[in-house]
Amino acid sequence: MSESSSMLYGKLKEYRALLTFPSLADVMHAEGILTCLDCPSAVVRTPSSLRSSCNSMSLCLPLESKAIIDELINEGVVFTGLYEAREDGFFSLEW
Amino acid sequence: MIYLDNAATTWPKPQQVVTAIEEALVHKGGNAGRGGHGAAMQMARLIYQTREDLCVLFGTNNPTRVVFTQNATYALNQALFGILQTGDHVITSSLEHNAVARPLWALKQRGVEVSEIPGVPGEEFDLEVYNKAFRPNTKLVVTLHASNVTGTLLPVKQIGQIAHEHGVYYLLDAAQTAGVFPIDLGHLPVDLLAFPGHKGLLGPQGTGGLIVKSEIRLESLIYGGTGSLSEEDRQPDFMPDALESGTLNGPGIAGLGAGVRYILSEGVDKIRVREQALCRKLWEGLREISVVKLYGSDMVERRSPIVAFNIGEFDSIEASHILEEEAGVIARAGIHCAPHAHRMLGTLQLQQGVIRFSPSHFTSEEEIEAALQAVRRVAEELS
Repeated sequence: MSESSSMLYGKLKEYRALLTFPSLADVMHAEGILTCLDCPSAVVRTPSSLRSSCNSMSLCLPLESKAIIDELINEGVVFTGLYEAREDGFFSLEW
Repeated sequence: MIYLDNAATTWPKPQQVVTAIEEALVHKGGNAGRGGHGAAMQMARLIYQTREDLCVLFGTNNPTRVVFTQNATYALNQALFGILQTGDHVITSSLEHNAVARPLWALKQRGVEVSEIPGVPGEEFDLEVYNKAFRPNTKLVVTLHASNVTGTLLPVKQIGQIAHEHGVYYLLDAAQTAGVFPIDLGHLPVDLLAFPGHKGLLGPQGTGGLIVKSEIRLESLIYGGTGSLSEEDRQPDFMPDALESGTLNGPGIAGLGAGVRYILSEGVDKIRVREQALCRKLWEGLREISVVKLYGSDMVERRSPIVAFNIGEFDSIEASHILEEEAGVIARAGIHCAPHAHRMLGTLQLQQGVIRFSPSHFTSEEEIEAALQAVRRVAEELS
């Protein structure tokens, strides 16, 4: 779990899974694949509690779709973490 | 004006390129990767779209391995200085542009060993000598795809295959071929591809790039802000951020993407066939002028769209000046930043250089005929 509590924002309120990446290009790579797979997703700013950076963006997607991460890995997407977003923080997820 | 210097930079550009740049400047002017707000993301998406378009054009599938630079020269320097270290050995050709020759000279001063494969007109790259040039410390082979002086194509498939047989990476300079010849990284034995955005890809000046295959790690030429890992002093080691410090040329890259999409819709083959047909017309017309000396193979279909020639013994610079002054024909003359190639042609020693005509697929047959007429007239005057 992250140290600070979270205030959910944007699509995170609806989609409760958050995928973080090394670079913005990786975010877009993943976004394109999720679109091809008809998986809803949204690009959101990465909470500072997970990464402090000036452009860090993440992808949120429905929690129930987390199994799709395997497809992203198969497509060569590089990511740094998968979290469940709750009102009391971000919790590492397994899939 | 009859513009025949497309080997230096293509002009005019497709209207789609102009529109894309304007759209980026007027409506999507945020700084990609600098903040997660909507304006930054709009520009980030434009840039990423261009990465994807380039992947389609070059037959590769990982947009994160497309690195944007301001031109092919920067991309070549990034590859050469990023991979070669003191004690390494590199093999190159005798046709190289200064974009390769000069960084190799600088690297030689730092203790990198450089072998230049000899060639003669008609056999520009001696494969037998090349095969014997490898050493235990050979790390890289770098060649151009086509000469910017004569358009001569090197046997890049064989060069790459032989490099790989020796366990050595191959860096290809596609300055004269990207967008005109098919370059399929899924099949070509090329590990690093450097390309300009403003030539055959029809984008604006100030754009270019380097495609780096996944197993290769390059040391960055410059360090700085990437928008990622901002809390750390060390440069990110992931691509493309590792090699893309500082704000990218967003509007230019948007224009480059539009150029690539234009090429994909027209078809590389269609563009090349059109340009080579114009070169055939130029070649045949120039050949009929008795004092004109042509350089390179008469098989213009097996060259990039360039026709190099001289009018008798006259200085190419002087002759091209007269062509522009009297007939508005724009050609590139001199030694084209490629003294090695001119040494092979014998035009460096004579201090003559050559006149280079390079049409684009936008050039009309009438313009070619007018250029030929101008050369006939100048040849008569100078004779």
